[in-house]
Amino acid sequence: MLAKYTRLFFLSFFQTLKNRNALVGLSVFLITCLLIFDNLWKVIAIRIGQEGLNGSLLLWYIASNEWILVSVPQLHEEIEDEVKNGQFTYMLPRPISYLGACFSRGLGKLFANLIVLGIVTFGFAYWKTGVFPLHPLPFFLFLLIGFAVGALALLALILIGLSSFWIGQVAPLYSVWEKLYLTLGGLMIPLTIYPDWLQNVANATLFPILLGERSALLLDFSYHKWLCVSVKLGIWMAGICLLITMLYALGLKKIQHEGG
Amino acid sequence: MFFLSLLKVSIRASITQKGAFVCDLLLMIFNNLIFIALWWIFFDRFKEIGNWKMADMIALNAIGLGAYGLMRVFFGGVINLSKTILNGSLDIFLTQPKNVLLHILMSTSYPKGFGHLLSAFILIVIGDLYSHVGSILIGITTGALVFTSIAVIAHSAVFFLGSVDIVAKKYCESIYLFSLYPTNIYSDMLQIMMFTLVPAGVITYLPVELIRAFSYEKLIYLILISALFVLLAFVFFGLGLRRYESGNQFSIKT
Repeated sequence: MLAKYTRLFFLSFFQTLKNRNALVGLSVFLITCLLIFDNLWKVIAIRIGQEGLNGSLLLWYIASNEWILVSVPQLHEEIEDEVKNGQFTYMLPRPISYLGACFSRGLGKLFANLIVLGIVTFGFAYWKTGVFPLHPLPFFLFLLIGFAVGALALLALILIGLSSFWIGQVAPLYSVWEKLYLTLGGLMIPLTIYPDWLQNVANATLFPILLGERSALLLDFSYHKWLCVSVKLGIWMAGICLLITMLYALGLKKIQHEGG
Repeated sequence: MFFLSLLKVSIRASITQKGAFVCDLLLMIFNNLIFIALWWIFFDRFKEIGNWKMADMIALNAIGLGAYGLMRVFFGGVINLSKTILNGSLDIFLTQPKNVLLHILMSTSYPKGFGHLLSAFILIVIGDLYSHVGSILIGITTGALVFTSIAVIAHSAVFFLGSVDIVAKKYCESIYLFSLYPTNIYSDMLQIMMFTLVPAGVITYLPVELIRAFSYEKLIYLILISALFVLLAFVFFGLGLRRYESGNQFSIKT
């Protein structure tokens, strides 16, 4: 039953690995962003009176955020294209779930990106700082969470992509998602700068799990914190899966009524 | 005349679905206000950064958003240029007796751009920047040209490197993001990068400096640098076009 999805996963995984130019380009892009954000955070750290912040760990923290941010493929655009050009309807009679196929394809791309960009990002961070922030087992657990978080981001993009059943273009919705991701996730500036009420709002969303809270494990790891992040991640995943299923069912109903 | 008519048709086409247009407009304004709110929180607490105050940040955002919006409305074809090249859709433009690059760029207009332009207008009102409208408009125009040129160069990389469209897209998005930060906070090496490889400084920082202390020298610099980026875009696209292999696609462009 799962064999067809596994095949799709591997197909997409190896296709992504084969596109070496794109991976090299993404790696160069990622390191550029890393340097810019590192500089930016250091300036802000001085401004907010946290000069004592460990520069090496800061680079690892930003590297961890960028790793996820750059690796997640733009699955929402593919779904939008398939819904808009009608290709989606051709896939309906096939003995494979459209959503499952989408997710498998996306996951293949995501994992290939995460592996290659993970080596580049963390390799660069180690080369630049000469410090490895965690022992092997906690670091392995941290990486594991990274892969799961990537899958969560992918699910969120599927949700955005499915909105193309109703709205003209999903790009504006994606822009809002991206801005909230960066601001409430704690990449643009540290969440601690925000007033308490906004920090509470941010913590009630999934964005800190995707970026800041997860990356903070690198700075101060404990199994308890790791477990907390994992549980929150599981809850968000279940919630988004439920939303996707509902939205997809509604979208299908719309297609059946109005045509594809 | 042809390009003016093309632009008119593209813009009309982008706003035909009124409901979707209004929805896009509101989403983009909300999206942009999130960022402004973030800076407002920051400056409320720290008053200034690198000698820049909130008023300067509002001007910077007005120019950045306006430039990005203008690019999307007038040169929207650049957003999916790499896809156009990769799937062989360039063929239909090559058969027409008009400048290929301009034709592609102006053949699409995105309603999202109007949201950015409206956000820029709102910021001019909020920031009480009426006395600097001239400089802001110059900044928006040069910024839009630099945004478009850089995007053309990035997307043209697919002529040489194959399917690197995702890299081009992420690179263009990052330039937009970094253009909404004050460039003067970066260290020396990164500042050079911000005026060359990631020219966010040319798009927003230079025009804001023009507003802070106007001089004709700065204005000429800004115009010359922008013109250089435009020239580079045409050269790079032209070089790439020589390597283009037809997709053998049969289609008609009306």
